[in-house]
Amino acid sequence: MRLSTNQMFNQGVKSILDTQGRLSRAQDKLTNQTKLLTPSDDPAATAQVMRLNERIELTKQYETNGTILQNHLNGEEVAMNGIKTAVDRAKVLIIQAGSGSLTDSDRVGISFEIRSIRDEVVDLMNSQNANGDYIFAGFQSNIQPFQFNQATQVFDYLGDEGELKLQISSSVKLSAGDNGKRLFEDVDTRLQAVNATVSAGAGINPAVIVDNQGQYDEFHQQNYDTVTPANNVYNAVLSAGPPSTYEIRNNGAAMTPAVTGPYNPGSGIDFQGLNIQVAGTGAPGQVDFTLSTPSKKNIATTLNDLFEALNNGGGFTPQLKSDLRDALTQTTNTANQIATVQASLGGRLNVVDSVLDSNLEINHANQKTRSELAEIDYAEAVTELMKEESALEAAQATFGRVSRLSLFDFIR
Amino acid sequence: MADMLQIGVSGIFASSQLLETAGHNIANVNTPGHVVERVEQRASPFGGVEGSEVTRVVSEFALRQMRRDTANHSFFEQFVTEAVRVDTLFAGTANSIATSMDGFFQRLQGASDDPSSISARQLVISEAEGLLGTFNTLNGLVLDQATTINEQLDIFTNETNTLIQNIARLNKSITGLGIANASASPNALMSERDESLRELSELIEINTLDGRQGEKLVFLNTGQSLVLKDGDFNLLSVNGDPDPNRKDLQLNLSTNSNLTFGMEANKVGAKIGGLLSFRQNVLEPTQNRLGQLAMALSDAFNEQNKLGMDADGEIGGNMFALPSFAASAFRANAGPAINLTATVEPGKGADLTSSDFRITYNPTTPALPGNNLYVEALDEQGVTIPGSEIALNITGFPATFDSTNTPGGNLFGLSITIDAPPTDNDKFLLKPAGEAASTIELLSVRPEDIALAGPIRTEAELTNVGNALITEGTISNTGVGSNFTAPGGLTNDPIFVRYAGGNDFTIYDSDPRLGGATILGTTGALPAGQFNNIMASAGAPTDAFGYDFNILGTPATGDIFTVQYNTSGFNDNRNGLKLAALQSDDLMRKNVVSTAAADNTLTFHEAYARLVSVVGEKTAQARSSETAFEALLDQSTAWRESISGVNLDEEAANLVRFQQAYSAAARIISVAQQTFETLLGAVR
Repeated sequence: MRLSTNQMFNQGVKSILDTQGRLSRAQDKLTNQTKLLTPSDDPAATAQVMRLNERIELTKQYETNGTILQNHLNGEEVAMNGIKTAVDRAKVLIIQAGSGSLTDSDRVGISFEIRSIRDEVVDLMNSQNANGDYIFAGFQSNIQPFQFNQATQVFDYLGDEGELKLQISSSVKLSAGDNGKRLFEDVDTRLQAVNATVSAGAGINPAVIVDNQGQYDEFHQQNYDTVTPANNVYNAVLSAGPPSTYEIRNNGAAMTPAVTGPYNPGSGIDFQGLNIQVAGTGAPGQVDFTLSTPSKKNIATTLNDLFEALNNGGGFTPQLKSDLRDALTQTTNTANQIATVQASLGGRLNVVDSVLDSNLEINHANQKTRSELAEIDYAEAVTELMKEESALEAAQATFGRVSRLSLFDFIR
Repeated sequence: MADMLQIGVSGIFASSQLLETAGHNIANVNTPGHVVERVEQRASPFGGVEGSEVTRVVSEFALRQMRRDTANHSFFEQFVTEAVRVDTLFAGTANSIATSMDGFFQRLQGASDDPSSISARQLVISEAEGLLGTFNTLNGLVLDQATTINEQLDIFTNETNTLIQNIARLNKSITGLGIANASASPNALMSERDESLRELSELIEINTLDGRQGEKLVFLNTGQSLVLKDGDFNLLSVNGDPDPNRKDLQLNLSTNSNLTFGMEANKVGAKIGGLLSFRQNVLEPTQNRLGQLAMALSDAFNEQNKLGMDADGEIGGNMFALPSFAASAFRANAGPAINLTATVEPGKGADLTSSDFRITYNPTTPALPGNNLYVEALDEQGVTIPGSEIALNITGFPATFDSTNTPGGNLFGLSITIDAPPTDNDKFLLKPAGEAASTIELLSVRPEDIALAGPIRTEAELTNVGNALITEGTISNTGVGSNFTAPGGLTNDPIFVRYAGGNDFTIYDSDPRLGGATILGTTGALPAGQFNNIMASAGAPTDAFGYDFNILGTPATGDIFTVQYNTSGFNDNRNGLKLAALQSDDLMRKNVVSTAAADNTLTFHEAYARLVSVVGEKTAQARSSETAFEALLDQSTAWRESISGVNLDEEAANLVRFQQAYSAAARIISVAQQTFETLLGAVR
């Protein structure tokens, strides 16, 4: 084929320019350490890398959230452990105070220790985290949640039921704490039978005492009527014998099946964990009593009441005895509540660990895929660079040779 | 012997012409478009050589092929040159919307981790500013390019017009030369004209026809004439209709300057076509998608923020200000000038599209007389997307349309207002997504204004006997019509929900245990164990209160649950988590028209990745086409060069050959002279 001079020059120059372009690309890839210099290098891979970046960044954030969550939970655990220890100590003191051999001054001594335990517990219930937020206050973390109300002599809860939740994976949100209401406020007081009165006959000093708390609690739970208060009134109808008998009625009506039995004035009547007693000429007659309204009391108020009761003086009265039983039930209930919360805290910490582990694995997989898509293979990139380099040398050398040749040089 | 001398002289004439031509070729070796010239000679029947005529060695097929390949190559070359800029723009992490969005959502999570911390909220504000800044930068660069395209279009059009005039002038000279002076050859002019035609085909795709008198008639790819016979020509001009900032090409007829032809971008070809095609297929879709993303993101954030409570204890407000856009009127409109504007309908960001819209008042096709606005979504080529058409019936001016009064309830997320009636068939172009990315503004830089908390809190009374719990509740509306009051509060605060037994709940405005409470609603017997959406179940008015909740577990008759405004609930991140979750929510519309079963939504990141990969894909396609057409152009250039190019070695050889022939011819004369001398001597 006939070649024109310009064509020969143009071809030589073009091949040099092309090779220079490829060389500079190979260099760019090597210095930027990426296969994807611009989206057009591999549009699909670019989109995938962007999505992977998003996931990786998100997982990183979940990891941070997880660490913060662990901090929160650990902080709560410390507070809970402190309260648990204090409550256990209080329990020991209550049992100690229940010994009839103690004098008033002994009880006053115990009461002072109870008071210091109360202060310690209140302090822990008002725990603050590093940011100064009250950790048991629910959403209203800037308000001290447990405050003593002088008028009612009760530690009021000023927080709410809110719980801060943290996102630790795309689907898992965990509570970073528990609110004071569920932890401390939601503790049942001891259920009792109240308002024991002699409504007929000549009995005096009627008393209904809870003998078997467990059995009574169950009975109370099944039979307490929240709508019609009269249905919570029970009557022990005593008829004179011999033999003397009793019948328990509910709001004047016989129970089904009827509850009847022989009445022995000395031992009283055992009914569903209750012992009903009346002195004087009880039979014939009737003793009425009412199932107590369920109520809740927090440990701080419980300890405060106990302090007041023990500090009162006036001997080992039945009232004090009942107060001690109240306190024991409530501290036990609190201890149970704390144990449940501690278990749930441990559970949550385990979940955080395992979710963070799986996040880590996902992250690892994502990073591996990203590096396969975007990062260069050094050996390949360096080989490419050297290849283009020698191609450029060859192009320059051939250009030099070919362009030097001219017939004019030979015609003299 | 006279003949001998004549033969010698004709040989000298011929050889010197050959030498001249060789010299001419050598001298023009670097003249663009120069065609190698050869001398055509024939032996004279009376002895000697005659009729030496200089001709151009040229193949019209090779030239035509080269022009076609030049047009195709320069189309893709221009396309790639422009596209690479956008491509590179989206390659960097510095300008990446994805990185900015990651940062923004991460900061939101960070703020949710510690909702009572102002510094964590401040970081969200900074990232929001950064995100808007990135949108602004990207959009600004894209806009710059649109401006550059307008300028380039002007320059290219001027160049094209110069070439058209030049070709027409050369046509006239060539034909004139042919008639006036038969011996003068217009070779150089023809080469110049060929070069002009090649240059023209770099700018715009053309076809040529040979006229009867050797003139070249030039036509556009679509058939319209550029260069006519007798030196007539038509010129191109640029014009923006309806948007003066988006210039288009049109052809003006020399016979009637009022008649113009609009030219379709995808049929122009070559450099100008590459420019227009890039703008239409890459630049504008990219810009629109950026705008769509910015608007959908801002709207989604605004809506969620309004469902929360901020650090001032007030109901959240809008964090971003979304712009309003005015439609541009087409020039052909009869008028009068009216205001046709649109805004994003709050809460409908997920319905927004990246399309432009053509709005016609009472069109003839389809026939919609009366008082109608006919809205059509346009694709990248400006063609109506089938199935997107909506007719809006106007009952009085000014009229506003949004999802509430649009047939089908979907006006592409827009709220369109028209203030006065235009003339029938008047058309308007609405480009909602075009500049949105740079016009969105942050309404508040106060970190307190991020609504991380939920506006209500729910509680079960401690005295409840049953074990039922109340869920934290969901918020559907905190604005007009709801029970929430500005700036922060509830009309009924708190409400009391009492279990009346029989799976029935009663809602009171105050504590029913204290007496004097008014009943707001009752649910009636709900399915056992499914005490869901109590407020909705109770019907009007509580279903419109704007919040709802479920009761879980078994309540006992008389159990009370309360719902109140979340006063001082600052350690609450319920709404913050929802704001952060927007990252993974499908809140972007993919296509204008889709079937009900199709997955027509994307997350923000997916949408951005799609935008970038579309740019990459189009650039990559254009780049490989450019390579292909470069090879073709090389080939046709080589073909043309091998026929018409000058080879210096060849000319060197020719010089030697022609010089020898000249010497030989001169020798003939000297021989003739000697012979004559000899004859004279013999006679003497």
